[in-house]
Amino acid sequence: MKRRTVVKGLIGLLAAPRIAFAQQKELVVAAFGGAYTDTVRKTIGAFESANGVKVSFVPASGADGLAKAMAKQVDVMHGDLAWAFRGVAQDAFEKLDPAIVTNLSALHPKARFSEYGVVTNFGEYGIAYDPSQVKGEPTSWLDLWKPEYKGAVSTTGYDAANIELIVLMAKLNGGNEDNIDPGFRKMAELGKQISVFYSQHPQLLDLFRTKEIVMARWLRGRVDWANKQGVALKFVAPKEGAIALVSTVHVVKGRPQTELAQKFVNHLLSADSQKLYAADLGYTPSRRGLDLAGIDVPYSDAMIDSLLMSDWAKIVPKMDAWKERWEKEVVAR
Amino acid sequence: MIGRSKTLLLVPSVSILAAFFVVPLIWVVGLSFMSSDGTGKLVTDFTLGNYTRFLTDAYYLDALLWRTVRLAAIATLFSVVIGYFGALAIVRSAPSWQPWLILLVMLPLWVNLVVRTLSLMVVLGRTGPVNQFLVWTGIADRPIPLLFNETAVLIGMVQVAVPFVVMSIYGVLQSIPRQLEHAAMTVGATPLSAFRRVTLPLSMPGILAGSVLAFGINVESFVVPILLGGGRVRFMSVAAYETATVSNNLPFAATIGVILLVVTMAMLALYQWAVRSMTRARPVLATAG
Repeated sequence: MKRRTVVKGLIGLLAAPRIAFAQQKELVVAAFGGAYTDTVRKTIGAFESANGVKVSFVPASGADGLAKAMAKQVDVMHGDLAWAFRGVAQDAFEKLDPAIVTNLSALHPKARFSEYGVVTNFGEYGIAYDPSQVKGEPTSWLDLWKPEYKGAVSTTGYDAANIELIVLMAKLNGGNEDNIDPGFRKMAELGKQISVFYSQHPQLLDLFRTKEIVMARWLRGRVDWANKQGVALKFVAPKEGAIALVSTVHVVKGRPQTELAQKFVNHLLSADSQKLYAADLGYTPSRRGLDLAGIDVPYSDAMIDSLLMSDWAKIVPKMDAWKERWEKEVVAR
Repeated sequence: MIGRSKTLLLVPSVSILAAFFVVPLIWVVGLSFMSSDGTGKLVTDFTLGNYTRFLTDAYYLDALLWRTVRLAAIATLFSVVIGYFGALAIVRSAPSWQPWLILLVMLPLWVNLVVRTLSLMVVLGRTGPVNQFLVWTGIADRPIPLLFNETAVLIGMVQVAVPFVVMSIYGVLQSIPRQLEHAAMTVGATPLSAFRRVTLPLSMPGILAGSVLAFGINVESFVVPILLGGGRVRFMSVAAYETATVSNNLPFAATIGVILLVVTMAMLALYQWAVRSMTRARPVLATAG
């Protein structure tokens, strides 16, 4: 008798929050967290009142974000191209409906990489350098390979931007996404130049501050941040093109509010939201024709056209094998 | 009556362990026998492929597994020696000082590990105090690279483990009556041999507990190799994390975890057995002598 009451009570406790939620429509959005979510939150009030919905954010991206999408715990997921194509392959997302996501037509074509997701904004990976230590302005990614900077250049470990760099090196040496060997051969040379593969932005900042590093693959926005921290660095987009850092957004399949989720994606692509990505985060909006006067962010069709963005549908199935090659050929001495 | 209440007392710990440790662990072990298609989708057919991939590749065996175990073992050795002296110093200090010294040992544990490790990067950096001292004293003619190599990772691991070792050895040392050593000295033992033949063997349980704790913490180090290894010092935990989050191959990540767990458990079992049989042999030797 008693035990049964306890069990009933526990079930009641578990069920209670669901009943409470059911009274108002709720949209759960997996986003990158931190300043990124804060920026999205700024314009959310108008969306909430217009649609009679409560939007809540959970900090999840990458593996965590896709896991939550597959478990149908979130309505909208943020990601990058790798997680986007993994999600597409695992049938995690709804197609974006141009009849609801009307802002799609206002975007740069590069943003519409798939029917199942869209790029909301672009960042730029280029070369950050210490002008007091580097003679002249670097112009090419290949400047990281220059022998005079051996031991004083850095990049991260195996990540999306380094994958773009491998593909670029393959393309410059007669290969491509399907013929990656020339890329790895070139990156192995870079590996010998590198004494530390950085993993945290403050870590790279310190390496620049102590002059252990004079040149590195870094984000434009982070170089501005370094300057504010009192480390005088310059940023250059190499002539081969800066590497794109993309933030994608997707509507999760099999959730009760997919139409609202589509509307939310449309909201992220609205002029107001798009402008904030530039003003608050320093990212280039996907939307064309915004007035970004007074905001120091590169913004033009030509700039987005020049960004390096490989064919990730081809890359995703190879990422595991490439990771092993990266460790063996680039990292290992 | 007493038997039943004892079982009741076990319920919270057992159910928490079962829910948050045993069940996920069973899931991880099961996962390690599955595979993932290129996009990270699980293929649930039974396979030994992940284990073959790991165990037949010199990179995984040497650069990853052996390095992890080797560095953890060396760091444990240093931690135990440093921790033992620390604990001994505290036990032998004035009783009114002891709580404060213990507090000092515990203090680092209240600071976030990432913050502690980042500050270690400042200390060991090219312009950090260690290098400044080395250059100033003329030991080195220019700053030497102390960071982003195995030595840096070792220093970081020792820094993490020492407080735990001090605490486990301190507890045991405290319970050994000082009179035992005095008694040994009255029958002719030098202070050193009194320590070696009385205090040290009696404090063996503390050393055992401390070193098992230190090895357990070191072998699963994550923040320390990432930050102090500069991406070159590969570690099992980091590899498992990256395989899951970057390559999105959960089964292989699970395999790395399971192999680390099995190897760690085997080493700890071997170590405990060795220490136990050594301490058990000691009284026999003593009577024979």
